[in-house]
Amino acid sequence: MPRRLATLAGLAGAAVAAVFAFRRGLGGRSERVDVYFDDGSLVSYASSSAEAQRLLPPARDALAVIRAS
Amino acid sequence: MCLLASPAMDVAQALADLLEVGPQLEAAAVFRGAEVLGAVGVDDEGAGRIVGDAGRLLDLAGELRGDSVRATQIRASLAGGGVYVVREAEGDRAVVALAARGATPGLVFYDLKRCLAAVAEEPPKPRRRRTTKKEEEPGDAA
Repeated sequence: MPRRLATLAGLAGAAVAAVFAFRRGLGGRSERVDVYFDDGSLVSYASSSAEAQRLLPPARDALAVIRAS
Repeated sequence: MCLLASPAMDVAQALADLLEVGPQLEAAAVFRGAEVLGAVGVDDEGAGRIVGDAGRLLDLAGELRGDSVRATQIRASLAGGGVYVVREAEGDRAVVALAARGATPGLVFYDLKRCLAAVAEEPPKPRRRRTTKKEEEPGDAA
């Protein structure tokens, strides 16, 4: 019985660790830019898009300025 | 001590309030074009740079649409945090803020709009005292 409990606890711990690792890895890579226009529309550009490739550099520079200060 | 109300002081107060209500915000600056109207959480040189970057973001975002529609809000979600820009709908004043990763975008935008609105509000004009002209009495005319 204690052995089964230990196995179950180990499995549950591994599942929780896997979820945390997945979310952390996914969150670290998901760069994107959301632009809201005055006509009420919203466009979301994923980091792989050509538009995001133009928009992300100034945003990264602004963040780097704050991190450096 | 005498404190005079000035636009610069209003911006500083609005920015101080902004960082107080939004603990997830690390720095912010209010600007018009390339002119920095006020900044908090960053030195003057850094404020000039983040304002320049925010201006480029607004310009580039506007170019992406190609029509007369203006970009009024931008959120760049990066690995190290978020960059938020909000521009007045009926003006050219804007605010840029840097937030920690995990900040709630809706709350950040709300706080930035409130900050811009506080800056945009003009101080109340002093009331002019209405004076009534005294009617001249016939005896005074000599």
